[in-house]
Amino acid sequence: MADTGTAIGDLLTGGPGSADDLLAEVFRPAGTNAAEAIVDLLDRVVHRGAVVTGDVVISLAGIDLVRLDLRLLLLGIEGTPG
Amino acid sequence: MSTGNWLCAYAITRNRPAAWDAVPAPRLIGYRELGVVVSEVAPARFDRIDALDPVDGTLAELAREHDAVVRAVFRSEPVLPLRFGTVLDGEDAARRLLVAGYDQARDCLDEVAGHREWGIRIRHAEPAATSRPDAAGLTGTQYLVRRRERLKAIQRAREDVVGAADRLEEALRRQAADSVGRARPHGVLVNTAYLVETGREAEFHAEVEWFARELRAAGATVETSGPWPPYSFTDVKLGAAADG
Repeated sequence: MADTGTAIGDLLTGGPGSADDLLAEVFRPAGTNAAEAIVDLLDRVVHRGAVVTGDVVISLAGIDLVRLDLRLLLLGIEGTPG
Repeated sequence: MSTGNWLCAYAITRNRPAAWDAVPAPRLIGYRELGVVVSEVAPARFDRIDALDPVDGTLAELAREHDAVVRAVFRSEPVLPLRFGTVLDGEDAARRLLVAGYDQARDCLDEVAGHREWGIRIRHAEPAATSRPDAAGLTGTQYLVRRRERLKAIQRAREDVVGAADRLEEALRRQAADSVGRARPHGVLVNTAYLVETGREAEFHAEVEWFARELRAAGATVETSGPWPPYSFTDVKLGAAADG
């Protein structure tokens, strides 16, 4: 069904092709390893972005994910070449 | 107990339903000029998310999915990304969110419209000051002179890098609409997110390139990530019954 190129549907259900396209939008300079790219992503997606208060079933805002970040950052450093 | 109408909310955007007609999920729930992008979600997906290990990929997978939806909308419309893991109890709750946070969300969306986020990271791994020159064939005095020269060189390189990094940040702030400092692990001198109007991206990157040459010559590296949806520039709380 995902043959019309309609953006969101493809992305969610989607072919690996479309996901790759999206990932390719983010520059991956030499020296930036996969763990670091995940830190960049998680820092933005998990820690930033508007917070919805009140009328929500689940809100992860405020859940302490620092422990997770620390592990990732450590991996990022260890994995850095040079 | 039915939880079939739980909706994962990704972003607030313009209410242009025509663009979303062909898409089964996620979908847009609109109110006046604004819409919130949502998809049906199985609550189990977020079970024990605070205990998820990002290294095994589960958290990263969910975060990538969130990012993919936000980016898909961002390709054609401005977005106000919502914090990952925001789950609403059905369409009425989504509409109530838009009603309660309408002015704030619209103002914020107007501010970031036409802009993209870019990350700049300057890394400088300097040689350890404790490293010693090779003493072979040197007199004691020669060795000490050599060692002092080495320490001075390290100090000079550090000053060069810090100076160039400062000039780069100053130049980028002039090009950017806004900037936010991000966490800096060891060895990272600068880690800043910039909100850049699309019409100024060429100048922005020209500045990055210009100073990157200088920084590379001084032993540092400059990394660019992006374009990102404006995640780092949507620091607002939306909704009813917010205390504080």
